[in-house]
Parts: sequence; structure tokens; C-alpha cells
Amino acid sequence: MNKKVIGIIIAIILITIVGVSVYMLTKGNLSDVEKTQKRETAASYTLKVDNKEIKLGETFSIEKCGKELQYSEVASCAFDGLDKTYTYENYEIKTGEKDKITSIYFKDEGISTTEGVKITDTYDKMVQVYTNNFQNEGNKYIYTKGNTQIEFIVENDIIIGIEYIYK
Amino acid sequence: MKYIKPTIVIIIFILIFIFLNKLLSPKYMTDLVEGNMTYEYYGEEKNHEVIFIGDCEVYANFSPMVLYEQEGIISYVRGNSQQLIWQSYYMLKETLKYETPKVVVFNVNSMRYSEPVSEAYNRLAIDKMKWSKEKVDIIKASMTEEESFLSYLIPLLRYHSRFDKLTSEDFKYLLKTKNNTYNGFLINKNVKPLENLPTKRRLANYNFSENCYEYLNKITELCKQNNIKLVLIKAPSVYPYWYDEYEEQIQKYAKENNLDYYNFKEKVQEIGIDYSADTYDGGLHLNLEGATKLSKYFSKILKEKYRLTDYREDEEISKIYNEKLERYKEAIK
Repeated sequence: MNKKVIGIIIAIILITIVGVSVYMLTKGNLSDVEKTQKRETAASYTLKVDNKEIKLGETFSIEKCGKELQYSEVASCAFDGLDKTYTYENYEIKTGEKDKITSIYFKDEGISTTEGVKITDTYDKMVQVYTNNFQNEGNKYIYTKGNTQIEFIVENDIIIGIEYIYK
Repeated sequence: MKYIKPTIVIIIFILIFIFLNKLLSPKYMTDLVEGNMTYEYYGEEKNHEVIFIGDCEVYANFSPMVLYEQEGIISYVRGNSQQLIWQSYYMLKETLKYETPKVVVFNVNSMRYSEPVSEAYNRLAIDKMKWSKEKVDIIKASMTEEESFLSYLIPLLRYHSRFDKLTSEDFKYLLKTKNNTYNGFLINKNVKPLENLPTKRRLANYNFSENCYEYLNKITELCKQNNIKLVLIKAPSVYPYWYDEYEEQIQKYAKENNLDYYNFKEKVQEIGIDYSADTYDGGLHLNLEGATKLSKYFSKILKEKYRLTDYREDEEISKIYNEKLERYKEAIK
């Protein structure tokens, strides 16, 4: 009798482990597919500068982005690959895995977003151009389109920081 | 009698399951050796007077072998790549189950990260931690949104896709392991001078999060309860930028809690660090040369200020450490 009970318990445990494993594997695959579909179909923010359109998530190239003034690279603590930074007069492009563009950071007011907002503009102008449909974290205002975001840092109603980010 | 057959099947199934879990889990022996650092500690004699906790800024920059050779200090670095502050807390808590050091040195760099950052780094720190309440807590505190607790419990769930990526390492180290560090210090002899760095970015918020303060308080409290001197440090990395606002907050915290705090970035000249020669990745981490300079410098402070024992005079311990030192010297040749 005892053996029977132990056998049933072990069988239940094994069935649970296998069931959960199968569920997790399936779930993982589905979400990957969903993510890919989402990335392919969603609209995104891009930066137009000097007759070039820089697209987040795309592979960096000099043809698409122009020749940088300065280049720096930062290794990760343990993994292969480098976070590369290409510096231009008024902005910086950062790339991550497989040289995909992950960030465009505005260094100063010498450059505007494609929609026409720059550092030193007011909070009101930001809302006028991008609406008040933002996510707010303290003095950071985040607009999301697909897998891309524009983040504005505002101090005393003046924009002091702008960054495009690929999520 | 009729139950023998199913029982055998079940046992075989369990054995295959365990085997696959073992086989498919990364071994961290020749590639990504940082993933074995947590595990290496378990094989050590647990009698250290100094324990370092923190991220890569401790395991790359402080060499316990230099501390021993210089001042007879016996120490261990419980650091991992991008070890977050809650991970440091639970690592310390786990450490105190094995031993009670006189001094705990905590590198404050992780105060800048308020929430879990990356599964990959979580795995390096946690995968090979022994199962305990601390491991359960560290997983819960560290998981990113995409992770599940179950995948830590059953590694097969996470690593099933490694089937076609298995290498000879996976078979060679299926049942054994080897140390790649020297009391937690990972040697890197490469030289990559500091050249260009990205722009120092404006942040929306320079204040450390409540979550980080909560864990810093827990570390402080844990040390107090165990009569351990907690020492805060900031390693001399030039990137990621350590903002003045960060520095002010740590200084304030140290003062309010009566803790010693050393920012080695401000002592670079005194230590003799040359970023054109003493770093292996352009100023983020020190190489062997740089770590040796910093460790020599800090060993004097530790010895003089915290009255540590000179174990070079202890027959039993010096025998063990002289052997370790010999292996270390061979490795740094």
C-alpha cells in the first residue's frame, strides 16, 4: 500500500515537472514569435539629421549615419561584445549587440528631434508637439512608439536632455 | 512485484532528468569563468578576516594574495559581474553562515542600479549558488520580468536550447570543477589604455533609490549585529561615471552611520595608477598591474586601521597561504 502511494506521488511529481517544462518551453517560443511580429509591424521614432534618417534597432553604418568625430568602446564585465559610442558634433549614437543602434543622445541644443524639439525648448513645446500622452518618471517624460522611445528630461519647465532609446 | 517495473522506469526517468539538467547547464570553466565565482567560495577554508563584496570592481581590482603577501591579511572576494546590492546582501548573509570576518568591504558602485538589470548577469551570480534560504531570496529579488523562479529550480527550462551548443567543456566538467580565481580575484594581464569615453550624460535623477538604501541599511545592520566593521569603498574605475551627486550621498551615508568610506578614484596619483598601462579595458577595470598597486595600497590601510592579524606568522595558515601564493605567482608570470 505504502509503495503504491509513493509510486503515485512520484508519478504526480514527474507529470507536473514534464507538464510545467512543456508549458514553459511553449510559452517561451510563443512570446519570441510575438515579440518578432510586434517589432516588424510597429511604427517607430527615427532621427532625421543632415539628409540622413537614423533608425533605432538597425545596424550602424557610416553610409547610414555619417562619419563620426570620435569613437569609443566599452566592454561589458563578462560577456563578449562591446558597447560602441560614435560621437558627432551634437549627438552620440550608441550600439549594442551586433552593432544595432540602441541610443541616440543629444549633447546640446544644436540638434532637434525629427518633430522639431531641441534641448532648451520648453515643456509646453514638448507637449504641443508630442501631446501629453507620455509616461512620467520624476522629471523624465517618455514617449513610446513600437520598440522606440524618446525621453525628455525637464528642469524648471526647460528641456535639458533628449535621448532616443531602442527597447 | 508488479510495482518493480514502473519504479525502475521512474528511477531511470529521474536519472535522465538530473543528467540533462547537469549536462545542459553552463559550466563556466573556460568560457565566462565569472559564472563559477560564487561556487568557488564553497571549497575554501572559511576563516577570512576580510570579505570583499560587490561587483566586478572588487573581483578585478583587489587581490587577496597581494594582501596576504604584503600584510599577512587573509581575505576573500565574494564578487560577481554586475552584482547588484541585494545580491551582495544575500551573498554576505550566506557568507556569515560559514564564517564571521572582522571586516566587510563593500564596493558601492551598485547603488546606482535600482532594479534588476539583466538575466545574463543574474545567472552568472546565482546559478551556481548552493540552495539555501539566501538563494531563494536572491532569486526573488533579482529576477527580471522575463525570468521565472522555476527556471532557476530546473535549469533545463532555461538551458534546453544549449543542446546544439554543447562543447567538450560540458562533458569534461560534468562532474568536476576547477578554480579560475585566486580567493575570488580574477587575473587579467591585458593592457588597453584609457582613450576616449562616451559623453557624461545628464540623468533625470541622481538620487539612489529607496530600494538600494534599504539593502545598504540591511548590510550595515547585518554587520553591526555580527560585530563586523563595515568599510565602504569605491574602486577607481573611470567609467561608468561616478557622479558627484553619488559621491555626496555615500559620504553622507557613511557619516550618518559612522562608517569608513574610501573613494580610490580620488587617490589614483597616490596609489600610482596609470590608466595608460594599468587597465585592461580602457579604464573600467584595473589589470593585474593596477590591481596589485591598489591592493598594496589598501592592505596598509586595512592592517593599520582595523588591527588585523598577520597570518604570515601563523604556522598552519601560512602553510596553506604560501602554497596559494606560489600558485598565484606562477599564474601571474
